[in-house]
Amino acid sequence: MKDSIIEFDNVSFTYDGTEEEQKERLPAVKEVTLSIKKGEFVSVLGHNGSGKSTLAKLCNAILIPQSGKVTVCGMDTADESLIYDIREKVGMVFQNPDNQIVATIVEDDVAFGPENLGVEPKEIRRRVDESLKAVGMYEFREYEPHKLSGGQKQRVAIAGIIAMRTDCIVFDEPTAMIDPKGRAEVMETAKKLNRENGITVIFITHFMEEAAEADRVVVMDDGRVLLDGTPARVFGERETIRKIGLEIPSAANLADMLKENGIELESDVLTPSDCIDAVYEAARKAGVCS
Amino acid sequence: MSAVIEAVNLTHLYGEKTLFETAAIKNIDLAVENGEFLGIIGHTGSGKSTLIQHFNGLLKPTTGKILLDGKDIAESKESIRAARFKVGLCFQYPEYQLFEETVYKDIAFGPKNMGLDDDETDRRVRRAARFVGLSDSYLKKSPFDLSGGEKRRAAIAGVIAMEPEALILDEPAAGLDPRGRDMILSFIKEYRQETGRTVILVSHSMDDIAKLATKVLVMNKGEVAMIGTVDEIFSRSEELFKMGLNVPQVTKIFLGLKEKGVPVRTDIYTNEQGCRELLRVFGRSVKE
Repeated sequence: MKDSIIEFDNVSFTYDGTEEEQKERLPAVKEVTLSIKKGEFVSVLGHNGSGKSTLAKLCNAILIPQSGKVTVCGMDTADESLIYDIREKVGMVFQNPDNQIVATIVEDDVAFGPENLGVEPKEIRRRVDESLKAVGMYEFREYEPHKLSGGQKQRVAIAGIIAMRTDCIVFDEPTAMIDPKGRAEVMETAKKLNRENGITVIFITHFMEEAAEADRVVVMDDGRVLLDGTPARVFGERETIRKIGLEIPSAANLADMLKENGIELESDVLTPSDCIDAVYEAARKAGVCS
Repeated sequence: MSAVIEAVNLTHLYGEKTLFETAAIKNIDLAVENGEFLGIIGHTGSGKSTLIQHFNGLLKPTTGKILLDGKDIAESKESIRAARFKVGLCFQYPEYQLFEETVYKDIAFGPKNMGLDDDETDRRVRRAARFVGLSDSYLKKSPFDLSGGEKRRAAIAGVIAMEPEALILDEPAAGLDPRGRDMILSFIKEYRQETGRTVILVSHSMDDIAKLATKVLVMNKGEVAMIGTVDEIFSRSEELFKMGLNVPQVTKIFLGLKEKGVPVRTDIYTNEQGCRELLRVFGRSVKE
């Protein structure tokens, strides 16, 4: 497909079994067919062990499928000669901010990627500044990374990726280890890069509220894609979501409780701001406020 | 109520007398009452972890002291050792600390260290495993064969098995999926109801704190910024936002409604309270 950036065509992946792993040799990802379009913001949900992280690692040739095919901008990830081109297109941000910072100064860390790609020094300087500005960390460029908060470290990691002129960023639970402010910073940065720079975002998370803000939600279960659609559609499948151990966003849950008690809200509620708008409308109609 | 843990003018400096000297916590006065469920919130680097590591003597105060049941824990070697058993501290990602051949042995490590006999150790291991929802069949397994959530629960059981007067959990649900998170939080709740012992929970989830805690401590830049009931703390949303913290999601919704002119109360911290409040505003009754 022309407007897609990553294509999964009937992809299966099983982790190699060394002796102790052998008993758990079930495929982590099974027969997944999925197309990620350019410019999309896709969140991926699923319980621990559902195959989300494996799916993420298949996106930029960290893992290669045993059957089926993953292509990035038309390049087969199984073709070793294309690996650098693929990683230039698709970058990853991981869960633990401390595991992905390599340098002792913020700007050196951001320069690491483009340096590895053999970019001209002048151009590197330009990209580093630009990337740090894009994630709102420019004023920290001369800081030592260990002096930063979790959210700030994650933003530096993101800057390191966009400095490579990546088209797509895969976030693997980037907010699991950081505080509320840091979480909001990372989410805002991902949204801004998607909106303003047209970067495709794949956002793996356990937080339903974060998923609710995506254009599209993919739910993994037992290595397969179980649900795929807009947040409203996916979270509309209340039964399925609960059955596989996920939950619906807290605001949607409140809307359900209201409905059970006879207060029907007219629009779909997923985020707190949806809920405020819908309840406000209902309150106006009921003459409770002006 | 009497205090089980008290911090008296507690200060801890990292890199003391070097260029990098920073106060991780300063001048903290605090009493944790017996049987209380204390929630601790604060941004990264606010001093939460430094504080709780003083509670069982893992860190020594630079100045000030920690009292356990009224006695200074730094009094003697024995009193520091006793503090380790009286105050059970469960770190973040405790599953990385599992090391024994079987889940049973891992949970038994603490009680054995306390010098308890086999019968008592066995009783405690089984009780702790039951609390965290691990059935007997798990006890024979290698901890490394468990799933992430199960490992986490086994590690927490190891602390519970010491039957500490106060159980401290640092982000026990971080990184788990909703089902794993619920399981951990509900057994913590049951544990407290059943034993009546003190629980201290450090969390970034305002929703969890609002649901569970009887008292909330807010740390900011190494100091106690606020301490009070859930109601007293989360009604100060503006100050919390300034500290990089948050209020429960449902509280945000009610603050937003109020701003738009819907005549709602804003001291709403759970969806159940929220539903009841809106029914009241809409003049409906709650269906049973």
